[in-house]
Amino acid sequence: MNESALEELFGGVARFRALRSLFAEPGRGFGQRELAAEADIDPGNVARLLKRWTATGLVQRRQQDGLPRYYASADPGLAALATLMQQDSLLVRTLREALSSVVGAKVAVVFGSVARGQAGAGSDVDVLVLGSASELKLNAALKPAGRKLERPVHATAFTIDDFKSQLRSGEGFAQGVAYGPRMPLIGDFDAEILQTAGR
Amino acid sequence: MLRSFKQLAAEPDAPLRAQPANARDAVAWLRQAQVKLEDARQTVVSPGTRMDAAWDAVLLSSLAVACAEGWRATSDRGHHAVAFEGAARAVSLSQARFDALDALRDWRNRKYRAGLVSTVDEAAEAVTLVEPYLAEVAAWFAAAHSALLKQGMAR
Repeated sequence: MNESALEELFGGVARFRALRSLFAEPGRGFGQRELAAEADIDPGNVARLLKRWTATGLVQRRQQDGLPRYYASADPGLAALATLMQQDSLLVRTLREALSSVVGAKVAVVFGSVARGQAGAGSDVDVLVLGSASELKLNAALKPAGRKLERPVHATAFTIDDFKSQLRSGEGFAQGVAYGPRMPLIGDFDAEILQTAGR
Repeated sequence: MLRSFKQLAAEPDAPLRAQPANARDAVAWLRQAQVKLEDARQTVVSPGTRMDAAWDAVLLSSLAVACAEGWRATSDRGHHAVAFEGAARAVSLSQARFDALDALRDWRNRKYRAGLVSTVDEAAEAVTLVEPYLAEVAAWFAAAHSALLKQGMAR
């Protein structure tokens, strides 16, 4: 879904962008200014929206180091909103852009604490890339993304056949990624891996 | 933007200390870097050992640059990262080339990860990344510290 449609759906640019920043990484807390900067919207708007969303339970306010920080609600009923917001978050866009220049990167997903929604602002971002690109090339290509996101990004690379083989033999890492929370970046993980893992 | 040794040393708990340049040490590090590069080219050893040697070549040549510029890396946490970044800045390495070699440093940090297997192709890739860096460091020494080089080689 394109950004204009989502802005319309969520009642405006500021509302959509603030919600996207909060729900794309539900485990990450934001100060008001930090959220305004991340969402690229006016800080005054953010204060007003956070007040309203805290009152309705859409957002949780927690006191940390004497300052308020705002988190997306952990209500399981809102999990679908997180999935929707992750599709086009700053993190996802930045990683997609970085990977687009790497020849041989066929399928890529974010896994681990970020995908589970348990990561903090500075938590490492773990990316699985399947295809023929080397891990050295991938990690070099993701360095600018790490600088932009101000957090380390680590790529783990396998060929598709190797990853399928790990999955078939019940390896914990492959099972964890395949059947745990994932944020899609490029390619179709389900079609390339899960629907053909037995082959 | 890559930071200079001076900027890196100004960070809290930086593993860098100012120290007068020492010709003998700088030349010894440059020679050792070449030895490590040669080790990294050896196909009779495992790819992981070759990649270790490839990174060592980067680190040793970076320590030589630091030494020539009047800095010494301590053994504290992060000394590989600051030695390499400061040296990369000194020899005017591009950000993209820095990132490519820094990915090799990351590999070293992650080499004990479960299931990490290095391939012959990856070791060869590492060598092709490191060779031009050592050549650039050598050219930089010849241009910026030729007297230091002569002094160090005379001993």
